[in-house]
Amino acid sequence: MSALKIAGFAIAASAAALTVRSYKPELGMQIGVATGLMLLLYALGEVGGVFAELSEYVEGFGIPAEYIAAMLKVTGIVYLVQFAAETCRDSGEGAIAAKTELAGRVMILVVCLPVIKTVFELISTVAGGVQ
Amino acid sequence: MDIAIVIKIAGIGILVAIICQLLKQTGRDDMAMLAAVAGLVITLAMIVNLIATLFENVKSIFGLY
Repeated sequence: MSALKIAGFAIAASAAALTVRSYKPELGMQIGVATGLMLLLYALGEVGGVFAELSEYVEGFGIPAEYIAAMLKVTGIVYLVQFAAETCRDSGEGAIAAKTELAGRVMILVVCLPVIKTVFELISTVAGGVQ
Repeated sequence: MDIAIVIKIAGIGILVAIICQLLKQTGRDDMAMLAAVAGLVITLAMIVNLIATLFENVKSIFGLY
């Protein structure tokens, strides 16, 4: 029934935000932020268990743990950056949102660099090129 | 996930709007602006704890830094 809970929460919060936004737009944005935080925190509680299970599978299949760590980091960065960017976009600052997302992509690239290096090494080994 | 904080912010918003209207009607525009800023700061102080909790959770669950 947690899906019903989320739906009811979102609708009630939207009604509150709509009511307040006509009087004080900046406080309407605060309601949006608070609702988003509540929903994200609720989702994160579930995600923790999923990742514990996932890392068990990964160990079973013999995939190196650092790749999964990189994947988890990317997911975390996306969570934070998406939240910040959507908040900015909601308050009408599309340009700031776009720049936030761009910076987030660069951070993701930094996290992914070791994996990209491994791919290049693999290609070089398979193709028989110089190491 | 509690709706109390959302309702609280909505209540503060309506209250601040009414106070602003009253102060503007009586010609105290500077006080109206102060009331609006005070409302904003109060709600921000309420939300900041939530944001810190989210950041801490994301950091620990996803292993960031």
